[in-house]
Amino acid sequence: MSGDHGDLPVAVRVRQLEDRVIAAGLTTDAELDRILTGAYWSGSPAHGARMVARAWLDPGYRERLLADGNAAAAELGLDTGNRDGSGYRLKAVQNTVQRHNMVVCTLCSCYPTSLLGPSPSWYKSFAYRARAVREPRAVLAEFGLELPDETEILVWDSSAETRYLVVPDRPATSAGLDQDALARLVSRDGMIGTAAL
Amino acid sequence: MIVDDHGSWQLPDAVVRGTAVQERVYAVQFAARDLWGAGSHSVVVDLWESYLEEAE
Repeated sequence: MSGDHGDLPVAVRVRQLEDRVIAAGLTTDAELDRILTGAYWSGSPAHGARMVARAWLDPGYRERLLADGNAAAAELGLDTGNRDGSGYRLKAVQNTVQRHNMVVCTLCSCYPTSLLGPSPSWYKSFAYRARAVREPRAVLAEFGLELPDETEILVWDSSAETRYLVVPDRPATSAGLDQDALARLVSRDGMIGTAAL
Repeated sequence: MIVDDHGSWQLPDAVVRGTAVQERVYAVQFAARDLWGAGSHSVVVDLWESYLEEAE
């Protein structure tokens, strides 16, 4: 975690919420710590980047990734379960010239943490969550991504137990690179769909 | 339009009542124009089966 946020109003609200759920017997301080520590230690955008790079190099892997994200993650030894033992369904969606994919969680902040690391603060902001579904083209432009008018935008709202991973277009300048070098080109925001590579 | 079948998952409305109900979840695509009256994009929302009703 970056810095000490103990004095922020949101930290007070979080602590009060924690106190309530602990008092109700739904969880314990130790369990919360274990879940958070697990998520923050094991999740990294390097994991998602490795899957994307592999998909660029290996059409067979790309097909398997688009058909069954969980199996494709497991194939590379990556975890799509949460620390508390509950899992999610991983669905990879591929960008093309015709279609750009972007991910949001309008309800809260659902996100494939094990493959992308902790989510950025803007992903959890009310502004992103409200505007991504309403005016995605304007939001993307603010991120510096200007899409041609003819590119269709598809916004995936993680409103249930599925987490989405965007497979960005491979940069034209990346010919001849190996999987590790390609993975270094894949950014977290590229896999959320808010940046081109 | 249903674009994907996510399989069966716990229905959150039942979970909050302390009961367990599994239901099929679908990815349902809407045209922004139908949701907001404007926009050329589409939005896909994951919806439990009981949230859906037969199209007229």
